[in-house]
This record gives sequence, C-alpha cells and structure tokens, in this order.
Amino acid sequence: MPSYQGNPLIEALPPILERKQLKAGLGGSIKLRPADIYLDGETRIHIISQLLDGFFQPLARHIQLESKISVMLRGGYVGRNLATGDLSAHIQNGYERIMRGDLLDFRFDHVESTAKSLAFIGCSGSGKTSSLNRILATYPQLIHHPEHNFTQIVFLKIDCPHDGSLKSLCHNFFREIDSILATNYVRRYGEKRHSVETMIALMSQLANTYAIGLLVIDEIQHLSVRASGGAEKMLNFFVTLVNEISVPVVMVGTPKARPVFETDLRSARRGAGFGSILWEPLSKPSAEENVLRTEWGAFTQKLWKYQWLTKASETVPDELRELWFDLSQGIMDVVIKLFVLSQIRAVVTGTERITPNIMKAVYQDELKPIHPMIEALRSGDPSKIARYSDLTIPDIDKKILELSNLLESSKDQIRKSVQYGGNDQAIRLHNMLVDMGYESDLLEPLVQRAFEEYTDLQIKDLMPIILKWYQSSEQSPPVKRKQKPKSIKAKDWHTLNSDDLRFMHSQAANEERMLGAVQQSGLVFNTDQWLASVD
Amino acid sequence: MTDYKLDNRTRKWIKEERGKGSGRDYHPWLTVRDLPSQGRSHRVMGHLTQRTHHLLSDMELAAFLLLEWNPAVTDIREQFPLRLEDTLVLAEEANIRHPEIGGCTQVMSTDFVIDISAPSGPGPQRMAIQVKASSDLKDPRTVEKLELERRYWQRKEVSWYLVTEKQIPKTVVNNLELLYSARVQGESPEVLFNSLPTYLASLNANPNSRLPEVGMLIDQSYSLEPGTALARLRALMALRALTFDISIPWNQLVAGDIQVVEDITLLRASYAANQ
Repeated sequence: MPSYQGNPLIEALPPILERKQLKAGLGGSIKLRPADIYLDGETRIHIISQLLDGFFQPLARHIQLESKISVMLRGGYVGRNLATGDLSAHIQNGYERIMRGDLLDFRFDHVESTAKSLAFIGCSGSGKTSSLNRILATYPQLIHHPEHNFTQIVFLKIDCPHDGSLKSLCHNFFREIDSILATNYVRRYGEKRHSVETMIALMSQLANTYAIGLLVIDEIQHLSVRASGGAEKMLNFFVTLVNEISVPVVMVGTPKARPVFETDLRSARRGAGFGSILWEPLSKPSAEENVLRTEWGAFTQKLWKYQWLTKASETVPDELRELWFDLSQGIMDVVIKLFVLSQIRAVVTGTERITPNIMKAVYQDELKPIHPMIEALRSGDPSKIARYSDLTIPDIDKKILELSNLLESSKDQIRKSVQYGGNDQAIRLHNMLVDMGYESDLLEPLVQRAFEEYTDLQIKDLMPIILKWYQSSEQSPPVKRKQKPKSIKAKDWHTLNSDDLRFMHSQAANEERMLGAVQQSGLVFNTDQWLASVD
Repeated sequence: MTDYKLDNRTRKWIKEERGKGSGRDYHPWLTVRDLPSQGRSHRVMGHLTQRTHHLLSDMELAAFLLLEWNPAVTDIREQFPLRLEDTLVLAEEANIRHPEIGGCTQVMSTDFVIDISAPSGPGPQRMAIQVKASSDLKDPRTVEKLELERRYWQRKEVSWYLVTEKQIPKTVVNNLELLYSARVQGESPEVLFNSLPTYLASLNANPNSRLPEVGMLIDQSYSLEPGTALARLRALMALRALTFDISIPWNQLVAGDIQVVEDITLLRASYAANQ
C-alpha cells in the first residue's frame, strides 16, 4: 500500500492479518482435556464457568468487523504523517482551538482528513464489546517512536457515562489516557472548572499529541438527548474528531442508540461515515438449510465440544438445538449462558448430559429476568424488541455459586464422597472406574493402595493394576455378593445412560414423549417399512 | 448368583420343554390357558407354522397378522422365554429387581421371536418383538422390565422392537384379518392358481368396479354359486398371487387397484414346496 509507506505511525503497526491468523488470534483460549471429564463436580464447575469469558467462535461477522477496523485505523493515520509534518499541523490547529475556545478555529491550512467513523449497532448480548476487545487485542495499545520521541496510542476505548453527560465522557477519556500512560490529565484538566467546550478541545489536542489511532466509544445508547442537549453536542464532537483532527471513531451501541444518530441529519450522515454495522441475533436456520452450514449451527456445534460431562453426546441432538434457539433467540450471550448453566446443572443433578428438560428448567429458574426480552424477540415486534434492548442477565456468577452449593449438599447421594486427601489424580481415577461400571466398596481402598504402592506411575498405568486387584478380589470368597440387585429408584433414572429406557422415561412428560424417545433410538417397530418390504 | 427359587409351575413348564422347538413343534412358554383372561385372547392356526398360536390380546393378534403377512418370515415363536440365568445377571448389572412372585423367580418372556430370511436380504436373521399398550409406558415397573428385555436381546445381538397400538394401523389389520380367513376356507393353492387367468381377465375388463361386482359377473358367466368367485378372488389375494396396497380399506378396493404378482411360477413353486 503506497499511501501507508513512509508513515511511521502505520509502519509501526503489526502487519495486516490474514484470515487464518485472524481466526486463530480471535478464537478462545479454553483447553479441552478429555480426562478432565472425570474430575469431581466441584472442579468441573470451575472449568465449565470459563466458557462465560473464554469461549469465542470467530464468525463471518467478526472477520468483517476486523477488516473495517483495520482499514479505519490505518486510513486515519494517512492524513497524520509523523514524518511529513501533517501531524504537527493538526497539533498546532488544536492548540489554536484551545486558546480561542472555538472548535472551528485553525491557523494552518486545513489538512485533509482521512479518518472515517463507524456506527456499530447490535442487540445487547450479541458480543459487540467482547468482539471489539478481541480485535483490538491483536494490536499493541502503545507504540514508542524513539527517533521522533513520540508515543503513539493505537486505540482508546471509553464507555459512555450512564448519565449521558458530556462532562463525564471527558472525564472517562482523560482517565483512560491516564491509566495507560500514567499521566495525570484528570487532575490537570478534568478537575478544573473548564467549560465543556474547552475540555473537548483539550481532548482533541490529546488525541493529536498521542496520535490516537482509533477511538472506540462503547454504550453509545447512554447518550441521552435529555441531558442538556448532550447527545447533539457529543455527536458534533465526534464529527469534529473525525473531520478536523482525523481520529477515526467507532460508536458502539444497542438499537436503542439508533434515534441518537438519526436526530440530526448531519450527524447521522457522519455517524455512518464508513457505513454502519448492524449485528442481529443469529438467525434461525430455515428447514431446507443444512444446519451445520449456518452461523447458528457452526456456533452451537463448536460450543457443544466444550462439555465436561461423562454422558455427553458427540453432536447436538436436533430437538435440543431447536429448543436452544427458541430459548435464546440466537442471542449469543444467552446461548452461552444457557449452555453453561445447563451443563453445571447436569453435573449437580448427576444427569451428566444436557437434556431438553434441563435446559428448560435452567431457562425457567435462572434466566427469569430475560424472559420478557426473549418473548419480545420471539414475537418479532420491533417496538417490543427496542424496549428490551438493554436487558442483560444479572448475577450469572451468583447462579453458578448457588448451583455449586447445591452440589455440596447433594454430593453424597450422587457419588460416594471420596476423600483421597484431595488427590486430584486419585479422584479422577476413581470416577473413571466408577464410570466404567466398577462401582463397589472395594474401589476406594484399591485406589488408595495403588497410589501408595506406585507413587511414580501415571493414571493409565495404574488402571490395569487396580482392575487386576479388583477382579481377583471379586472372585475371592470374603467379598459377599449382594443378595438381590438393589433397584435404582425412578427419581434417579435421569443419571442413567442415554440408551436406557429408564432414562428415556425420566425425561418424558407422558407416554407419547416416551414412545417418541424410544422411536428415536430405533426401538419402535416400523410398520411402514415392514409392509413395504412385503412386495 | 445361583440362589434363586422356582415355583412348581415353572419347574413343570421347563420339564415340558416349553419355549423349545421351532416351526410346528414350538411350544410357547405361556398358553392361553395359563393366564386369567385379560381382554380377549386368541388361538389361531398359523398358515406359516401349521400350528396353533397362543395370542393373549387383540393387539398381539394384530401384530401376529402383520408379522405373518411378510413372506420373508420363516418362523414365528410367540411367548418366547428368556434364559433365566441371563436375565438374572442382567438384572443385577442394571440394578433392576428381577420379576418374582412370592419369593419365586419368574421366567421373563418376549411376545414374538421371529426368523427372517429374505431372498435378497443378508441371510437368516432374528427379531424380537414386544407388544405393549402405549399407556403402559407410563408405569416405571413396566419400563424396568422392558429395559431388562432390551438388554437381553442386545446382548444376544438380536434386534428388539416395541409395538404399541400406534404401530398397528387399523385398516391394514382389518385387511389382514380378512385375508387370513380367506385362506382358511380356501381351496388348494393349485386349483386357485389355475383359475388365475380367468379372474385376471375379468378384473382387467372392469377396472372401476368393486370386487363384489366383479365376483358377481364371474359367478354369472360361469354359473357358479353366488359368492364363489369373490371368495376365490380373496383367496388369491391372500396367497399374494394378486396384490394391492394393503392400506386401502377393503370395501373401497376396485378392480384397478389389483395387480398380479410378477413371477407366478416362483410363487407356485414356493406353495408347492410348503405342502
């Protein structure tokens, strides 16, 4: 790119990422270790909870966003070349503006701005902020240029204040710069009785002084039109940043922010300077589409891999996938939270797989606050959707805590509480053996003995030794067999294997559902096929 | 493992070799006489096995007719006992209480075990079938016993299927019942096959007429006793020399719905071999 060459601000940036690198860079960082499935419930809850923050599946929309941001960031620097003096002209003009207190003032000839702005709108929970954070994290935030004695801030991200006032926004801006540069602008500029105009001019000056490459303003829907004409002024300010000082701005908000952009025609046009990106919830795949090729299918399929349950199935059952969509309406945040909470509940109850019943119960019990929002989305009525666009799921960590407390109290019933002095490996081995069908009072002393006698062996080596002991002790007379098989009570049938009719019974509300489940596992006589084979 | 107790009746039945044998010589574990009546039980002559089958309910009869209708089926054993040693082990493995009455272990049974050998199929196969009313699926104890049964047949690598009233289409069963009785009263297959060309000609000449009308026409032209031709038509259908879509209600069939079997000599030969 010739226009990028000879510009130290651009050349210092990392090279433009290829799609493959990008996907790798954006993806989540959770480690899947199959053996972790056999850890005790308490530990697994911790592992599962990582998904809330750690899971990220790059989709087409993320790639698109990244390329826009990449272009904006570099394009913005084109008009502010550190080597040619363009930047100095900007800085001098900014100084004039501070001195005169007039945002339109300048001394040098106006330098062509190459900055663009982007309005980025998406439903709450659609992953706007986390995507942006991940994309921005592929850049260094600070770059020092020793030859020019200049520090470049590649991006700066601030949140719109809740009160929607300009003053607080300026404070946030100074505070953010202070936090990354260890300066004291809040004290120098923020705590003085500067007028808003002066503060804005100071901000633009700082944006030039540190050659801020990209300004991201999140939660733009907090801009309130009521707060002393704040919305208009702020939008004007953004436009000035973009136009006069050449800082590209990304404005991020929920659909509630749309009227803000549309209040003022000029701002609306500016706000959409580099187009706008609209993120809707994942759409429901139509019947003729191959589910796995859709974004929804890819997303759920990927997420499904992150299960630490002993009886989890390989693929998402169709019925569950439909329910999952219905309960989340494609809002990624809800999709993940439903998944995480269902999984934890599956651990706590000992069901050890995610079933439609569990997911429904989680939605009913844990996600009450978002029911109106989901119902609005289900209705498809735009006015209702806008009303609930800001709803978020509160206290997700509290829910997890409650669930894990439940585990504490029901632990003894699910699996014999095993001590082993907190030995992870021993607990894992014990659970693995139980899962293989070696549940017995013998197990605990055997595992204990194995760890004492063979301190240097791995789990995979210990396993055959224990099994050998187990079998020999089984044949020896002192171990008395139980007189009669103790039957598993119906209320515990949900812990059985998926192909067990008793498990199906535990999941079915009535005989029709039960028959449906039996049919799905291929155990119902197929009359049509039978008759067709007669001819 | 071996400490189970049997009641006198079970011991007697084992001595009688119930559940053993095949074809004509098979003895069901349970007969109609052994149980107090629950609904309607049936004793029907099996065309395939040439013996009396003991069917304990209407639903079992319907399932039996469905099974017998398929020419690939080579043997049908009803009330088939499961090996007690195996079900006891499985019950322990699955943590299910084994059926017993008054401290005496009971032998479990599966409603039908059939042998299948389709000419184009993968060779002789076995299939086990359990008939249950779908409302029974609510009952946890029934589910436990079904699970035992499922595990038993899985262990033996025999496919096991559940049949409920939802798998038994009423029209089809009505048709099958009619065809079943048509064969009982019929003449010898040889005689019937010989008359086939005549019937075929009449059917082709009146494609829109219902079967009783066609029968009447034939009766008149050959001076037969009224009803004879219709009975033979049915018998030919029961022998599958004439075929039709079994899901069309009997009284709605017209002559055009009837096709003749492709390889009549093969069919003849198969019946000749069975005599």
